[in-house]
Amino acid sequence: MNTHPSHQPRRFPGALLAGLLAIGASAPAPITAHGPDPVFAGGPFGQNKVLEFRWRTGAVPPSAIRTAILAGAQDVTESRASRAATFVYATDGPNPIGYGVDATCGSNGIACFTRTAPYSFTMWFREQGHVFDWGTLKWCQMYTTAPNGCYDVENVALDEFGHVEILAHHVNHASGSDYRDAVVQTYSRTKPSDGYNAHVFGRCDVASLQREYDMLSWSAKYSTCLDLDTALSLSASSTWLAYGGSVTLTASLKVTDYDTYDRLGGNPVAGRKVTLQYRPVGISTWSSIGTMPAGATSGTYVLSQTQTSGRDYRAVFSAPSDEGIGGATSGVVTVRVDSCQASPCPLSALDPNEPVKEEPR
Amino acid sequence: MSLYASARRRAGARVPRATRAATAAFGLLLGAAACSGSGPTGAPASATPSAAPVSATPGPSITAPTPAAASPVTSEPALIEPPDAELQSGAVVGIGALGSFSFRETGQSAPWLAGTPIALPEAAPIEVDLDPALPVDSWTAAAVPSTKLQEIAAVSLGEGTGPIRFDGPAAGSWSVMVAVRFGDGLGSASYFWAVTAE
Repeated sequence: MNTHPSHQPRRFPGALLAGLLAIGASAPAPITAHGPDPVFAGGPFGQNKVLEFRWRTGAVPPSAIRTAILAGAQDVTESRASRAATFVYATDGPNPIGYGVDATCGSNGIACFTRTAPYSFTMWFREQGHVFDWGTLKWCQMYTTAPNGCYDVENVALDEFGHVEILAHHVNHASGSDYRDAVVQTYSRTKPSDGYNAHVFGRCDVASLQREYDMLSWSAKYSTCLDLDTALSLSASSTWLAYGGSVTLTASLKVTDYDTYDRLGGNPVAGRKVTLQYRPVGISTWSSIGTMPAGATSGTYVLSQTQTSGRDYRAVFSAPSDEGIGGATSGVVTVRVDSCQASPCPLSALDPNEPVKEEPR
Repeated sequence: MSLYASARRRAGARVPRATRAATAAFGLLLGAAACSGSGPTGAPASATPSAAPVSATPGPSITAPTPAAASPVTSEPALIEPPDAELQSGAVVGIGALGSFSFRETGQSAPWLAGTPIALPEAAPIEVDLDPALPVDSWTAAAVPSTKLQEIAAVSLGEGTGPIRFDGPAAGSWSVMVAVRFGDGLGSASYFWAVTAE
C-alpha cells in the first residue's frame, strides 16, 4: 500500500511545496505550477446541476456566435469527465449571456464572466470588430473562411464555462509548452496557433473538475494531470482452513483519503486490474494467481482459492499509464490449513509448487 | 475590498486601463456576493463523497441533477480587476497591461498582449510589485518577440514563489508577460510590457 507520511498528495512535488503548504486550512488545496487548474475560493455549484442560460436582452449574439456558444456548452457536458454542472439554453434561464458593445469586460478582455456559486453566473462576449489597444477582434465563426488571427468562439465559450464551474487560469510552464493541458488558459490563442480551437477540456481542467465535483462513476478514469495515491487492502473469509478447504480473498481499492484530494479522497476504484499473488508460508518469492474479478461492492475484487497448505496472499494494483492514480500493494494475509487427517492423503491435490508439510496449530 | 477601488498611480506610471475606476466600485458588491457564494449548498468537498454514487457503475442518470436553487442575489455582480503590476528597473517604471485574469469570482479572457512600452538595458534586473500589495503564491515571467505574438514561442525569464525578480530579455523588441498567482486563493492575473532591450 502506498503511504505518505505527511499525508500530502504526491502531485505537488518540488521546491514550491513547502511554501504552498503554509496556506491556511481554509484556503483551497495547494496548487503549484503545471498541475491541476487552480480553483476559485467561492466553491463549486451542485453536482450535476443544470445551469440554464438565456441570451441577454438587447445583447443577443448573432446566429453564428449563438451556435458556437451552444456548442461550447455541449462541450462542457461531453468533456467534463466529472459531476460538474452542465449548461443548457432556456429562453427564461436565469443566467444571462450577452454579446456586444455593452460588455463589461476589462479593456483588454474578449470575453468575461462573473460567478456567484452555487446560484448563478453571467457572461459577456465582445462584439466582432471591437477595437482594442492590441488590435481588432475577429471571431472565426463570423467568416465563411476564418482568417488567421481570429478567435474561436466555441473555445472561448468553453473557457468561460470552465471559469463558471470553478476553474481559474491554468498555471503554464513559462514556455507555454503545456498550453494544451488546459482550455482555461492564461492567454487566448488565435488561428492557427496550436490549441486555438480546442473543444474539449484539457486534462488539467478535468483534474480540478474531478476534484471539486467528483467522478461520474467509480470506474471512470482519473485525469492524468492528477497523481493520486491509492490504498489497497486484502481480507480473507477465513484464516484457517480444513485441508482442501476454500477461502475467499477480497481486495478493496480506494483513493487514499487525504483531505487535499477533496471529493476524490476515499473513492472506491472499480473496473481496474487487481492481481492476487501468493507464496507458501515461509517462502519469500511471490507468484501470481491471476486477476481478481470485480466484487459486489464498488472497488472490491474477489477471488476464491482452495488450499492444501498454508499460503500468504497479497493483492497488487499496478499504476495505470493512462490515468492519474498510483499503484498499490496490500498487506499480507496468511491463510493456514489443517494437516491431512485421513489416510491416504490426496497428494495429487497438492499444489505442485508447494512442499508438503504439517501446519503448526 | 476598497483597496481595489483606489489603485494608486505613481508619477510617470502609465495607466493602461480606463475602466478600472468604474468597475472597481462594483467590487464591493460582488465581493459580498462572492463571500456568500460558499453558503450551505455550496460547501465544497469533504474527503468522504457523501453525494457520490455507490454502485459499481454509477452514472449521471443515477443521481438526479440538483434542482436550481433560488438565487439570493438580487443585483448583478460586476467584474473585479486585480491589482496593478508595476515593473521597476532602475529609474524605469511601468504599469503592466492587464490581460486575462481570474480574480474574486470574476475574470476575463485576453490574448497575449503587446503590453505597456518601456525601454531597458539588455538583461536588466527587473522587479514587479503589486499595487495595492497582495501576497503572491507563485509567478512566471516569459517573453515573446514582439513580431511573433501569435506564435507564442515564449522564452522563460524566470519563475518563483517569492518576490517577483528576474532579469529582462536579451537585446531586441519583446512582449514580456508576468503571470501572477495571488495568495489566499484570490486568483491569478497576467500583465504585459512591450520591452525594447538595448
